[in-house]
Amino acid sequence: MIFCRPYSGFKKQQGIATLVTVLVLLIVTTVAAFTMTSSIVNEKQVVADELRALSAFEAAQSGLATGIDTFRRTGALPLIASAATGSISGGAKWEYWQQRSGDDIILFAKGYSDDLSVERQVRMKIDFAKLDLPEISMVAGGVMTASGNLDITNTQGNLTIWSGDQVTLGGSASTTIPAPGYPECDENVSGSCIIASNKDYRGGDIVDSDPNLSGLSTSEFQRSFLGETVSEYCDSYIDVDGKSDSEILALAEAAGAKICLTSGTNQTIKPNLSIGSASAQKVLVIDGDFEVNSNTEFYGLLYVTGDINKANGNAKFYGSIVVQGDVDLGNGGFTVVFDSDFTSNLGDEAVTTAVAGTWRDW
Amino acid sequence: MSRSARHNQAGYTLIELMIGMAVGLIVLSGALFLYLQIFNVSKTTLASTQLNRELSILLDTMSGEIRRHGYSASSTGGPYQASSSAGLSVSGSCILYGYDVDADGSQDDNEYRGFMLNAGKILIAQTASATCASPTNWSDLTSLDAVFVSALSFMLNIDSANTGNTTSYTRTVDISISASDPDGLVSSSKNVTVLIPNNVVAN
Repeated sequence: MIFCRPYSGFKKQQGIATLVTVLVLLIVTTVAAFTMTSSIVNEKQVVADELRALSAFEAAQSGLATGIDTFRRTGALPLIASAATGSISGGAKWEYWQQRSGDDIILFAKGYSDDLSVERQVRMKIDFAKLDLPEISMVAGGVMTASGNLDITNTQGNLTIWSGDQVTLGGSASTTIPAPGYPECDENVSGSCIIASNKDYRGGDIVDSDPNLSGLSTSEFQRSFLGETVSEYCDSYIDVDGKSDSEILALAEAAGAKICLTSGTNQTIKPNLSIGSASAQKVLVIDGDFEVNSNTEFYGLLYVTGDINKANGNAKFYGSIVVQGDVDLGNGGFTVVFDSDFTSNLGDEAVTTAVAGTWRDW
Repeated sequence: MSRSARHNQAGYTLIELMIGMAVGLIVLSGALFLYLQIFNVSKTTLASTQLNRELSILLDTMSGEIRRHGYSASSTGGPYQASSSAGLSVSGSCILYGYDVDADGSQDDNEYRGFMLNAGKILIAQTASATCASPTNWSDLTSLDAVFVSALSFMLNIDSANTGNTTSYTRTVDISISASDPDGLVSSSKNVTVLIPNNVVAN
């Protein structure tokens, strides 16, 4: 009506007060409703953010647990540049990596929410029971006979061979220890090493016919060096029968830091393997007799439950060799260099746990 | 005055006016009712949203902090490995805990931490001289302008597991909090259980 009859209609629009009031009220109500809606949306976002933060944290914790599990199985963890990744149900992602600090292994894990808007990082130190190995290059439960170019060195101490029975050095076999006045025997520092024993001269570095060693039963002997018996220590064995060296090596690398070789038919085990490195030492358990038949290198602890029958080739062992039976090292250049750096971190990674009191998220 | 002129001056009848006013009043009261409804709901919703947010932030802060209890950079595990409740004390609405904030292996004064409820406010402690017995040496974590905390309770649960001669203690802390907005329009409660990842291992 107001549009049809503008001049005569105005006077009759006396409900204008109601209309304006109602309109104002409706506008205010609409604004209030919008404010409330935005507030509810805001709260939903806050709750969603909380859930994302929670899932990122849970993902990080999951990464930590996965990292420990990986280390237990393989004895190795990736560095940050090649961090392992995965996800938990719900879409949150994790990654983990290690950082070494001296002998300590710090496991880091980072969790991301599904939309990557939230990240949480946690870390903790992981550790496992270390083997308490004597600082001796070679331990033999039985008779030790050496000839050829055998060289047994203890870079840090004055004991090279510890045996429960007789030790005979022949040929060019010799043992080396640090020279007086030098804390370490370092082949790069002239005069820091001296020959302690050879076929003509027997030094105090060789302890033989020790009843403390020969008097041990098989299980006592194994517990003394491995902390448990070989059957307890080795969760799984690699049967070398019918396998090529490369097949054995592939299995050994997959086994992690603890490698147990056996022969189903009780043959002498003589694989041609190069295992470990100065920064990644291994424990190689030979369940049976062993023949060193290679020019390769090994870092860590070599534990032989039987005898070492022969050592041909120029094999180099860095760490300790423990043999329950006899050692008959024949021809060839066979070198054993003991350095506590090569054996101090050996143990059973399968029992790795998080160190109590080292978890942090800041 | 002529007849036609008087006819032109005719106003509304009483009936017309009353109907008009009645219709106007009904429309007006409907709009007013709607407005008041929306206004009240919106006020409550805003208060509730703010309260929920405050509670979430509080619980997040407290659980995140308490979770850190027991960390020490010391190679011997520090003071927190001495027993399953070393450095951790829970009594009703007060908790005292600690961790090696600067990772230096020693327990500094600002590494004694705690939360407690006092007169509707949650207090936070960052010094060894703060105790559960008195609010002295504590500082405010919440403000009465934002939230009134009516109840806060902590409960410590310790589980132990033996492996050979080694006992491992796993701790969880249940936190429960009740609060209302400053005007007392809405109130809310939340509970959370915090697992402390730093276990205590005793031989």
